[in-house]
Amino acid sequence: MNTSESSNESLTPSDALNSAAAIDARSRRKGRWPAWVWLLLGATMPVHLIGSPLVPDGWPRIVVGFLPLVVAVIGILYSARQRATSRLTARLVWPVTAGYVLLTFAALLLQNFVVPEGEVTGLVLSGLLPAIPCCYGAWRVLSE
Amino acid sequence: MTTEHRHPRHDLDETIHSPVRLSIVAALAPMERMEFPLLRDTIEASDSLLSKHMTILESAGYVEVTKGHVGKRPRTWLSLTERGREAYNAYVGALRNLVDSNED
Repeated sequence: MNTSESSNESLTPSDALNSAAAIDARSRRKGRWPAWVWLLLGATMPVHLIGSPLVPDGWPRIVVGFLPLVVAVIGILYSARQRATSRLTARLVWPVTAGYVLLTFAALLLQNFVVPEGEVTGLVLSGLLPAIPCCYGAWRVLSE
Repeated sequence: MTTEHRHPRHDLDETIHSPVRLSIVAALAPMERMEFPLLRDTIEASDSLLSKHMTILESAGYVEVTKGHVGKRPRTWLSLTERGREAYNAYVGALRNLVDSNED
């Protein structure tokens, strides 16, 4: 939309509708940042959960062990720098966070008490659990 | 004029009718809140123009302005009130009716 005052008289109803829709879409794009944070968290926690028992001792284990912590700190710092929060994000942030935390604990419990040692399929499937709420949240935000 | 044959243009809210103010409410509609500079860039307006129209929208109760600090930096957050959201939805509905009535 031409935002100059002189365009007041020249904006037809159709133009005004199109302009409002274009600005609405532009605004939504600027509120998509949580999707990238959620995708990053949803990728790194499975790497940690699946990778920890599989990688050899030494620096690979240290990297995999600290990965979720480092990514969480980066995510918090990145979120604090953002200048817009969409209504959808405000609705999703607590369910996604709660789902992520609960499923991380569920995965840890499964891996420690249910999945037999050395069973890679169970390890991988349980390790992927925390990614579910993150992927759902990211999908909702990106498809809005 | 009877209400049955009322022209859709009468439903257009004068407060939102300015292109700048329509841009502001359209940008804020999908957002919980937005920082002043980001809104300014989104609607491609100057600081003074945005401030001027924000004052009008705030007076009408359509927009809420929240001032705060992040660290030492002052920040101004803008959000659409429930009343503003209803007014925007009604305005867009009136525009659609106008477009439809022009097509008939």
